[in-house]
Amino acid sequence: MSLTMERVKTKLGPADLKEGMTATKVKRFIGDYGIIILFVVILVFLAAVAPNFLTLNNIVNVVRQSSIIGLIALGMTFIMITAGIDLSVGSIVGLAGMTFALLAPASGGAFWLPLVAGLAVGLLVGFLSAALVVWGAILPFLATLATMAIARTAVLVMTDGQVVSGLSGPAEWLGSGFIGPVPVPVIIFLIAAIICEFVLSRTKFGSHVYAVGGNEESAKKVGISTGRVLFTVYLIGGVTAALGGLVLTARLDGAAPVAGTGYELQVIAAVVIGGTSLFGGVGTIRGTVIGVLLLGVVMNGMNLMGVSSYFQQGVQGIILVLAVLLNRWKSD
Amino acid sequence: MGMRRSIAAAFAMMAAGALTLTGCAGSSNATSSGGTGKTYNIGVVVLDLQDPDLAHMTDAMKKTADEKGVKLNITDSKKDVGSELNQVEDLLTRQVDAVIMQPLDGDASQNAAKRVIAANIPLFILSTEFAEGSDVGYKSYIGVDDTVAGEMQADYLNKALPEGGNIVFAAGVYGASWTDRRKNGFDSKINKNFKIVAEFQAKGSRDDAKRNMEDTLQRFGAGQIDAVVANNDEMAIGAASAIADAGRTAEFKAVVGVDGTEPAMQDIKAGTMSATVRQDSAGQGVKAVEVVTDFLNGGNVENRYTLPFTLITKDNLSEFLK
Repeated sequence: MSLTMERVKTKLGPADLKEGMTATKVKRFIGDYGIIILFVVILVFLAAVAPNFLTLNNIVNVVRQSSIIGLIALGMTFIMITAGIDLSVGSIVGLAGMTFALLAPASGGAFWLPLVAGLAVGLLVGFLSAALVVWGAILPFLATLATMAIARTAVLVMTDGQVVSGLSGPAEWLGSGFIGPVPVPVIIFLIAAIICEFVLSRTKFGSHVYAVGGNEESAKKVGISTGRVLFTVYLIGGVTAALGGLVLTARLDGAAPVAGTGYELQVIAAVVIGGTSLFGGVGTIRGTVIGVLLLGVVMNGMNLMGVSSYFQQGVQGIILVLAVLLNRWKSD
Repeated sequence: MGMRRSIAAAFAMMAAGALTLTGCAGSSNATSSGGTGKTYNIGVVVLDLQDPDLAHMTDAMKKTADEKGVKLNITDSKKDVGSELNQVEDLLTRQVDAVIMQPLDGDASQNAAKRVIAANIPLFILSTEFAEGSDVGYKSYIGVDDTVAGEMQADYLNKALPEGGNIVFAAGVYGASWTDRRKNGFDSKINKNFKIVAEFQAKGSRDDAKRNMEDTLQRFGAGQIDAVVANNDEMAIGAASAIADAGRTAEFKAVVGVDGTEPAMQDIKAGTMSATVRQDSAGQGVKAVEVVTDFLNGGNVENRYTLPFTLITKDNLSEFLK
């Protein structure tokens, strides 16, 4: 890497032009695949030092743990590509999960009803954020800071701050079940990721998302309804966060009013590590999936090695900084 | 453009800070009724109203206050020493007749407590304590000794597993007095033939405890762990659920929590947890309101009211489970 840097710095005559072009290529390669390289390096390192890391059991475990943050991160990727942000996702996790937990015992045979209600609640909070951002022209950071507080208050009021526990039946399957060797939460995450990848990279709407984030004014000039695009991404964010909340509640066989607190920061970190720019216009679902898995693997590896909880957050922070530096170097 | 963005971001950050710090000084009924006698206003500072157990406690306090004819101004420190101090200052400005405080931190919360005393307002401490040897001049302490909860967990394990064994320890929040006292109590009483093979901080949350326990189960195979000890019930439930998902419930001879919550008792009934140490939070809250009302009406109060913990296992579960 240092070698290529030197080559870029030493600018000489036209004879070196070819050299410079290879350097750019190498740089682009590292830029494009840097996070994957980092991921592989971490995997190899953990496989070597962390006992039981590279067992099928543990791999299933890590991916299952990551699937909740992963689901939320999918919607966040759309939002962040438009240069927005959604701080309310953690509260949506709590609100959707609590709605699900409260309705689950009462719904009798209709297993889908509490699930649909949970998703609807996520959609509602997403709608509120979108309305503030698009119609109210409020900065996404502030608009979603408000919806974050409002949604959390709603959860607390719903149950007077109490935990709702004991869902049983189909809910247990949603959180802890398997289809073949694959846990149900992982399947949900995979399907959602594939759909999001398709929408973002293969549809007209997807290209509009990038256009709005890249330059909203130009997007307007070429006839894109930027308001509609922005509105849609916050709705997507609300639904994926609610889906994460449903899986979390099913997994824990209950909902706590504080569930999901702080998730927004983990999710934003994962999306940024995956290469999405906070300033919009750049990012992929593929990258986000890798960002999520990378953070999940690191936390799991530290637990397997018996690293004290004191250090774990710090290590996450270091990885975040590395990823941001990598992205900046790429775009220089 | 970049400049404008960063200015906007700075404002946003400030707004975020302001929103979390000032918080809601949620009062139940602030105005004092005129007319015949004076209605006493009692300020209450609870460390975290989002905690289910404490929400339960404040409900019980409100009920008792209604019966006693006093008014409570209940405020929330939100687990932050800064906002705890803000809440105390607000209460002093409103000139309440007494303050019931549940200190967040054994040391850092003393500053806020001393403000109350400097303002000549009687101070009562509820449920959590200041660090040992501190000189805060409160009128009385109403609560439990968290150290005892840890000791009771240790006693239970010593009896259940006289041959000792390997323990996984789920700690709450390092530095918080409830975590430290429970942990110290446990460490002081547990037999030498036990060994803590893994310890993680799960912040009192079921979610964090389950994730950490899943990893710990990957790390240790069958027969390498004998028991799980958690600083509260939510974490014990999370760990128990990870163990059950892995189909390894039979390997564990004990999974022990603290608090005695309803879901924990359901787990004991189902056999995924083995014991919890019940603290009667509602009882503490009720007692605190009674003591303060007595004091304001000119009665004598003792310096310390400690309510007992109760060990709940399968044997006496029926007495507590509704």
